Amino acid sequence: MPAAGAAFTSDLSVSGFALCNNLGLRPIHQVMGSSIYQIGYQGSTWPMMMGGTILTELDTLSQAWNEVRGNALGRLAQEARELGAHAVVGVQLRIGSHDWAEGSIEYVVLGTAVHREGADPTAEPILTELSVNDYMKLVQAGMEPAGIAAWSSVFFAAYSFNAVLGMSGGRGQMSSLLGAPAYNYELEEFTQAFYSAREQAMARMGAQAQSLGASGIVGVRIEHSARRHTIGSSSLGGGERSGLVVEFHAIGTAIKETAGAKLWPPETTIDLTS
Amino acid sequence: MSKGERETDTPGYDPTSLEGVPEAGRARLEQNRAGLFTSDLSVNEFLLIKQAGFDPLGLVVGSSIYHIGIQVSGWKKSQEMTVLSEAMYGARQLAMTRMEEEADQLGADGIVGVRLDIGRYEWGQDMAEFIAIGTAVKHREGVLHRAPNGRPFTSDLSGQDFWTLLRTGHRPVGMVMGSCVYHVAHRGMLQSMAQTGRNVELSNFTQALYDARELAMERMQSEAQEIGAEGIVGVDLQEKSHGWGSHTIEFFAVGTAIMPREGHDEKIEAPTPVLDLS
Repeated sequence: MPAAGAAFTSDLSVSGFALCNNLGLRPIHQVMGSSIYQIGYQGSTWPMMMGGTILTELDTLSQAWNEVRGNALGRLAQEARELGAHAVVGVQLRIGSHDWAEGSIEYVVLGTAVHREGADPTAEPILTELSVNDYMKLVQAGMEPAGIAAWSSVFFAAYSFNAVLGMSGGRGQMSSLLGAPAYNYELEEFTQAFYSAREQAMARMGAQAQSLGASGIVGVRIEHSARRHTIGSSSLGGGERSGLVVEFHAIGTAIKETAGAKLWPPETTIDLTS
Repeated sequence: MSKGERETDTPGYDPTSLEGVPEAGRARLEQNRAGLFTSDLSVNEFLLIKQAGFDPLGLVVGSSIYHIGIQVSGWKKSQEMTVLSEAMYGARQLAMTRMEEEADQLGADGIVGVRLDIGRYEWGQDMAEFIAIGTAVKHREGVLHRAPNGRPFTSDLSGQDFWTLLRTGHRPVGMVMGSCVYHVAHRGMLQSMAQTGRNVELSNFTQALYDARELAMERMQSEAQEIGAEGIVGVDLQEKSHGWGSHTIEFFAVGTAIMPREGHDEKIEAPTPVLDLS
């Protein structure tokens, strides 16, 4: 917490800093929020029937990701509130891990807290990944950032018969005498599993934006990863099923309209620099 | 692969159908219809699309996980691997069609900023996820901008390029693509010995790559002609071996087919030259 009259700190670019004046923004201090979180283990009772549903959400893992991000962003907002800031711009989300804390993730968020002239002093600070430059363009078009909309969903997708068949040849782990089929086919169950997992993460991100009073989300990124996993069934004879653990993280910048959009055509130029 | 064969591969398109679009996707589209738009556009792209008179409606996705078949080619034979070509084309087509169906559900005129990704997972070497993702847009004044066949237009142009294209009196009609997986013959022992240490054109390699590239580009071009385009802009020609060994290569050509915009014969004004001093 800087003392009164102390120098401000910021990671703004010079052009961003120059535009602050135009927007009535004043940088106060760099702020941070972080959380190291151990991701729990989820055992699952898996319905042992073939051909049944093959997608199940691992809600303990989904919750872990959403909570660690929520914690970090909450602490960032807390720091900003204590500084009397109205917004945090240029928020960066970083995910790291440390080898001395196995099975855990560190979520770090960084940004520059800014004071906005004429803004309601009691309002919650608005967090945004946007740079001051992008902020400026939005404001000129009659819009402003509303917050960060993000959601993570973790799913377990069990191998279907078709997938096992496809893996049985080549250098795959499950080599069999049969070999993989030579013809092309779509793995429909797997397509559906991945597809709906992605859609769910996107829908919940949308719901978050709605709760921020946003009219839309720009700059959406959807990251995903998949790894092999075997889930043991804790009941009924203890069978197990192999499949994939798939993580989807959807993150975007929620924006809202403040006035009627007033957009003018940009001027076209030709760059002679290079 | 003849044209007739390819058409049987192409999934049927039905604007009212959501076959292949999962339950969760329909729920999300409902959210978009209720007024919240989502998009992966940058702020610059978003503002330019607004300026061009379009409103983003929502992020639309199509996906297909596909098992790519196996085809064996003779060691010394240059030939197209039709099974693989069909797989690479058919799977992308499935993903694109599902994305278009999602856009149709939103009542969109088209999709901008389409990206075609191929996701490979360590769990299956013959399997890949083909993903098409883009932002569905609609003209604000309700001027229909769909492709002549009634489907939403698709385009891999950025928001900046989209704005500029419209200003030249043209509009995108559809992303067109062509794929050709080709096996390039190995050189024989005697031939490679005879060529050791000499300056010589490896004419069989040249010819094979030349043929494959031409096939991919020609297929893309005939697709553009079929949908009644004036031309294609922003063609990207990719060469990649998707784990088939070094002599089997996919040539993939993709671009945005464009056509003149009715009632807009404007030309873009002469740009002001600027010199960036930074």
